[in-house]
Amino acid sequence: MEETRSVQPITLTNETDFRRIFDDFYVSLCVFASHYIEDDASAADIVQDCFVKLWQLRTDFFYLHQVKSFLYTSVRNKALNELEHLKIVNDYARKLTEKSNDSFYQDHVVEEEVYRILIEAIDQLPEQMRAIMRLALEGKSNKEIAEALNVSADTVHTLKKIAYRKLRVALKEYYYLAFLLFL
Amino acid sequence: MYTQEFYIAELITRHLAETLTDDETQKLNSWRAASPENEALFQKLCSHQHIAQHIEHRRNFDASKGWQQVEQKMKRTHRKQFYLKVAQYAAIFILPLIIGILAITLPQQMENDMAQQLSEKGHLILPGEKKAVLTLGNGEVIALTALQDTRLKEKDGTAIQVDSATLNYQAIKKNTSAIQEVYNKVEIPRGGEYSLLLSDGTRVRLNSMSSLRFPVHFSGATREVELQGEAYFEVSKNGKPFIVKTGNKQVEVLGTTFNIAAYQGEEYQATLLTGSVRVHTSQGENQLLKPSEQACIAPGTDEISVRKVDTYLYTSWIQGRIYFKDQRLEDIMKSLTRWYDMTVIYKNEKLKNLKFGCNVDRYKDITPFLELLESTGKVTITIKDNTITIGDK
Repeated sequence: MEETRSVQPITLTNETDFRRIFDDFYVSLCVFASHYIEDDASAADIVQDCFVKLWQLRTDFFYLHQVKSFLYTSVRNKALNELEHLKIVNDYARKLTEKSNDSFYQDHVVEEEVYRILIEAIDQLPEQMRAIMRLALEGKSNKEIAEALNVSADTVHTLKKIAYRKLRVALKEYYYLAFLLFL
Repeated sequence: MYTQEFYIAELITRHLAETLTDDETQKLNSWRAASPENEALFQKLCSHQHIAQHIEHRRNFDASKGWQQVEQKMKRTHRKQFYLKVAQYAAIFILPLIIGILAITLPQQMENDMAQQLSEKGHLILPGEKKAVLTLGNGEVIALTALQDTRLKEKDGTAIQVDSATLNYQAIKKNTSAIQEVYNKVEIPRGGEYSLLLSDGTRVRLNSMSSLRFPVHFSGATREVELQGEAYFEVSKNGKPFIVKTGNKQVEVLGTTFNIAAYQGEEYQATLLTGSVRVHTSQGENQLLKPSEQACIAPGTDEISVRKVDTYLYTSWIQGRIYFKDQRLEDIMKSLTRWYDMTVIYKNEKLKNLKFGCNVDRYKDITPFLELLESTGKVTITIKDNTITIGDK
């Protein structure tokens, strides 16, 4: 089963582990919540509440995917609740039904997870490569990147190649390690 | 189920980082091909513009500031939990004290209130009571009330015991020489209810405006009774099928507990509590019910629909309650006028379709129910003698 590969054991019982989960997920969850609530301050507030809840329930979780599922679903539920209280908006009813939809949830979970893992991997790169990769992701050409960072296009080309190789290793390891631990 | 999303997310991430193996590429492609929505999502996530937007959006949030706020919130909930604990212990000591005081003062006050109401309204609409009319095999008619305690003789020599509010056919000795079955009929008038213990040990509770025709002995291969109105059955198991006929519908059972409401002109409802039953219509349609299921047949049709129900709702009358949930006012009042001696008038037709719920004592006068109805603020109620007029607010 390929799904089981992302199963990774985890403990949350001490504050450093909990803090690491927080750092990994906080911003992604905020973006995720803001798809529902459309107000960044309330989105952040909801996500913080969910982390408090996670801390209270920290002994119930054994695997990373449980924590992920818990975070995404509880952020969604809280956000939908909040929406229900904000009945001021005219087309609120249409929006609410659209957003209560499972596929709305699934699509946005996929979106946040993709960018979260990717950005996390890129952030591990040395500083110059990180900058290059971020710009490359935004669709900038080598020439544009070279101008923005004030280096030669050749350097960009070489560094990008190394960066991709490093990313490959980083992402593979993430993957492979999870698989082994599950076995 | 949700791990699927996480897996797809990982594949797309690795696609963006150009690190997919052939095998994985294949998996990703088959997911993309599975639905146009999947493909659309994939294209959206890979578009540079969308990535740029996303990265921009992330800048609005600051993880270290967020962490500080989470720490504050954790402290606050910690404190809240502490106070909650204190409150819990306090409640353990204070609550009994309050209940004690209320128990002493409240009943007195309620009695005063009741007396006041009585004098205000001058008239109380009373609930029904244990009463029934028994027709013997020879056509003799006997009126039964709660207080009787006698033995009746059937013409083939069988004795029927009347305990307090229960007709008991169990003490009957089996008369093998009887060739023809002797039928008895119990009819419950408006505002009445009565219990029966049939010769096979089956218990039947009959509701108001209902009747049951049944043989004194069950001598055939099946046990058959005829019902009109509403009854609650606890059928004893003895191998012979037990059949409840109502007009052209019939319910066939072995040993179970169920309730049938089959009032003329209303929806037929057979509600199963335990065991299993099969509901038949004259058209040959039939449905098997599992516990907590209800078979409904709309008046004038022969179509059986089965749904899951809260059985308590349909058997509350057995527990001495009047319990409705989200029912049309007209349906509620129709059911109540069978039990209470009253007539209901609506000031306009729309009122009949308002929906209400209640859970009150069936053996009390109607006042608590009407008070409840009026307290919803949706209707006004005026009572004159035994006529209740329901009007707009």
